[in-house]
Amino acid sequence: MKDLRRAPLRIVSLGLEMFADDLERQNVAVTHVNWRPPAGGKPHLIEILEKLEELNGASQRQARGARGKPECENPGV
Amino acid sequence: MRLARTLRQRAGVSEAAALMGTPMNHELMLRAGLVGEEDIEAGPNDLVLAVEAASREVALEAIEEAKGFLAEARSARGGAGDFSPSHLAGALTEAPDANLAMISIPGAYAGKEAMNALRLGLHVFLFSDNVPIEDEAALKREAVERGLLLMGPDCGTAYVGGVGLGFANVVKPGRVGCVAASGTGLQALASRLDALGEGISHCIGVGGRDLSAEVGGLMTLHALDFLTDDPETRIVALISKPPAAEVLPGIEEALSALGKPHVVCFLGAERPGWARTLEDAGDALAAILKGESHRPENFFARETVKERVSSVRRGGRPGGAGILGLFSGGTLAHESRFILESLLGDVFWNEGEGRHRILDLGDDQYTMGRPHPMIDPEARAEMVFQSVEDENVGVILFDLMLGRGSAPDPAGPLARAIKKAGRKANDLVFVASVVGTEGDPQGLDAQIRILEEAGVVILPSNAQAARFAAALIKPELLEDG
Repeated sequence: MKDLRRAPLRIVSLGLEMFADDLERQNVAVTHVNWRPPAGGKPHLIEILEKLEELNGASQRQARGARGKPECENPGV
Repeated sequence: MRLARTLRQRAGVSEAAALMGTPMNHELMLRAGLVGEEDIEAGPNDLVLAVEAASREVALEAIEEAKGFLAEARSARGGAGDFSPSHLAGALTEAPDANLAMISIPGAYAGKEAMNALRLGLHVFLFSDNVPIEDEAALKREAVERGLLLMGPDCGTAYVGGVGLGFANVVKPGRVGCVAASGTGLQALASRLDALGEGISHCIGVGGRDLSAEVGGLMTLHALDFLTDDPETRIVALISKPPAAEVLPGIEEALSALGKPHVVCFLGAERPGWARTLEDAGDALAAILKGESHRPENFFARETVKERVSSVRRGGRPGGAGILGLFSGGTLAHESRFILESLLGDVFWNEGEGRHRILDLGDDQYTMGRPHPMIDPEARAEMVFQSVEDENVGVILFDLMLGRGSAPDPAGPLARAIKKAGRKANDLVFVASVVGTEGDPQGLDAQIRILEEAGVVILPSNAQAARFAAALIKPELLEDG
């Protein structure tokens, strides 16, 4: 965990520029993200993107699982 | 938002909006009558400028001016050599030591970006609203698991290490740590502490639904842990609407395990030991830190208030018998309502019709296609002007929120509306409190002076303003112990 009680704030801001401006005025390091809705904000394309991400996540988990299998199955060692 | 305000100030322009073309904003602009069904072509990547004006020429001139502002803003922010990343992961390449994401994008996308930020190891300040409650609970579970803070959704204000996030007053750093479910409530508390010479360490906003049964106080508990381990924090405040019955025991347990003195204010709930108002909470915190005793009082100086009530009433009651509250701070509106109800009986909320009414003008139903009244005070000023015609109204009660993010001169339009109402306003009493500090960009004293010159009676807190308004309508309240 990046402990906010001990480290100075370093902020990434998505959205309203006035918040990034206010932070700069308080001498806080801020990076403003020029955020745009994914897939041009088109709901059916966003849905497809989300499904792709899910599939990608599932295949990565599967790959990790396959690599981890021998260790799990060798409790006697 | 500032662009729309600037356009609205042009001669001949009666209404203006500058919003992203999301489906929700289309709906807002349709309802505000700013666009017709056939105009909806803009997508969420487009900025829609809509202007209602006295003539087509005036409207086109305003649009041209807006384009000029936008080009100026773009060149100011994205000059030669500057580069703004277009997504969170890209920003982290530029700022690998980032520790907090501030998210103020439309609610439909905000939950997903907040989850991305948490998974990238960032704390999150989530200003966006309209995040479904089940998504809020999932985000908070993820945050707690990762040892991160998820402030929000709909988090208006927070302070981390002396830095104000969102709509924040300029206050001193100090010894008070806070967990707050309300932005304007936190602003009122922080400003009150500042006036009492105390400062804050960290104030963690948790969003208005954290203590609901669905979310279970996940972030309140996590934030209390955060403050327990913070050496700067000597005392802790918890401000919220009353928690769900099943959530309260866990919160009480966490408070008793804090190992630090604490003050609880569940607005609208009463129990011995709990502060009843934001002012009481601030005063109790300051008293404990100074080693003094604190006894909440209705008014600080009853005799002075009596004199003030009688001088304002000039020997008679106000023209009308009702109180109309026109609030920009949602929590201050709620606080006024329960104080007035305890003194005068039924007080109606927003569209409800009755003798006494409180309107939360920051509520969605009043901000359709317009900025929040803390950002743009003109719509509320117009309501003040129109309300003087209502013969049932004797007292107009309101708040004024200062600080970063708020309008540069929120008092000005209200004072002008009262002056414009002229003699019609003579039978009315205007009562207000101002949440702010001398360090705020607007300046507390300067804003108070503008209102006082317009004849507004200014009380030192929202609670006192509500009680004062009640005493104007029912002076016998001041005779009771």
